[in-house]
Amino acid sequence: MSFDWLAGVPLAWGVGLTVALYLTVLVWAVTRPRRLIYSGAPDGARWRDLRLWVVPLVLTQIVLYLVFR
Amino acid sequence: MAALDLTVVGAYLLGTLLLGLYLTRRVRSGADFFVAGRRLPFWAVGMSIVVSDIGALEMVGGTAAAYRYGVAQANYEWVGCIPAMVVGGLLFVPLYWRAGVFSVPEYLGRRYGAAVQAIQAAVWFCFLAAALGVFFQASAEMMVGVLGWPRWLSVGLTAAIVAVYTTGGGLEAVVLTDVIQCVILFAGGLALAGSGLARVGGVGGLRAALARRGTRHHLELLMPVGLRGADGAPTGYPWPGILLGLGLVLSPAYWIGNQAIVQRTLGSRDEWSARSAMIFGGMLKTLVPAAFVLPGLLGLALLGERDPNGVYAELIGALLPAGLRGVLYAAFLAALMSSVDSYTNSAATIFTRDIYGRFLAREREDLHYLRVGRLTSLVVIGLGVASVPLVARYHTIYDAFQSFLSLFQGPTLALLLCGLLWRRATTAGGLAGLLGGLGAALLLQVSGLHYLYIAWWSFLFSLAALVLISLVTPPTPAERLEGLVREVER
Repeated sequence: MSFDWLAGVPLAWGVGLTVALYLTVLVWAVTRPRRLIYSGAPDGARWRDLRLWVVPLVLTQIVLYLVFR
Repeated sequence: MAALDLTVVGAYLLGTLLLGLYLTRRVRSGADFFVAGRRLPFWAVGMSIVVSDIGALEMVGGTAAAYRYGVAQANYEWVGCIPAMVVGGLLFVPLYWRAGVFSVPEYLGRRYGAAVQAIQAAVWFCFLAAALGVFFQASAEMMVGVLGWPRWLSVGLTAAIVAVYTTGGGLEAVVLTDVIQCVILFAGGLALAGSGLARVGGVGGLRAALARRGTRHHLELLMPVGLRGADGAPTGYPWPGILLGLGLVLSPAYWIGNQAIVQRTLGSRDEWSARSAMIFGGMLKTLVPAAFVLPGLLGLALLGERDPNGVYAELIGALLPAGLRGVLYAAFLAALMSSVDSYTNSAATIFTRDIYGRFLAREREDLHYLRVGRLTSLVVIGLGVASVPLVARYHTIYDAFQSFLSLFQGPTLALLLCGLLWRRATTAGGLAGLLGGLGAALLLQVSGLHYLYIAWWSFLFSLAALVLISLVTPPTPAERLEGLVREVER
């Protein structure tokens, strides 16, 4: 249960799975329907599209995990 | 402390107090006190949820951990926050917001019944109240070293100011003073990191200095399984634990199920603001390691072998001029106050809404609950101050509370995920998931398993128990699920 059996697995797998987690979140977020993204918003201004906020946020994280490895 | 530093600290304390007093006039109902009348802007909520997560302990402890183990400490701000904040903001926060609840135990009570609500409320209230004493005691110890103030001056002054604006102004005062505290925390932390980088010769100089120190993993975010530090102890960052325990269980449980976090988003002025507050908070979280992890690396590069816990204070003395040192000292106070005000307000909300209003005095007028909320805030802060000598003598009390709470994280996440996303989850299934997951976590803790793995396995066990019992018990009537479960997206 301690995952010690993964000691022989290359660390690159850990980096790859972490990046995969971020990519999954990114794809899920950008495919949210527009109706849900703007739900409750006072107007339909472009800057309120939270999918546009998530893209740089998650891409920055992916770059950080690829740089510090 | 230089006169200029004292002026900066004094201006910060006075400004916080005056803002808190001003906001007291706006509280006229329970909704004003507990969820800020639902009028907070997204940027204030985002800054508040980030700064509430940074205490004086994290400033010193995070730097010390980065000094010992390197940039891997940033996992707690990055993979340990960002994915959960994005999913929480876009999927779960709107569900809470539409349900119109004031607290996480209130949601769980409406979804799974009174027993689950009572257990969750009691555990959270005890933890939040007990944590205050530890915040005061641990921060006071650091302030003796960093500020040179007597312990009781630090504790008394911060408790008095927090008591004034928290009991008077409720969540709005907590969040808007958190905004000031967030600015000061980042300004102080980034000033220290910037000065350190300039001294060491930039990023290239830092890399070269770390290489000269013979470090192997200080610039790696993920570490191999079984890696141990120089003292022979496990590093605490094995990559499966970081990914499965922290990234997939503890982090979502914190950002989706922590009352102090959820309550802020519920105070947003509309559903979009509640959602965007979490994403904006995620952007700020990306910057946190620059302020509180980078100094640890700089400490190793500039100072060499030291007691890790003394690195932050030594860097302040070595790198910053008078005035900027004052900003850092104010940041220490801000870190303490932002944690104390959040925990106080959340403890008062849980006691008033989920214990007093649910089980002891139902159907009273709104102003009655407002008075109880204010009185509870005062009592909780008083208990926190009074328990400082006790905590100083018995650290294990808090350790026990923290371990106890950590046992709930996996089961709580399982209950929230199924409750919010799966209509077939039943009252009996929820109770079985909570108790079964808790039992599994207790057994695993006795076995000595790393807490990151305990979170993972207790979550899976709780999930299995919840699903199994739900499938063999009658479904919850559809009318009882109205507004509590996600509708199918089209």
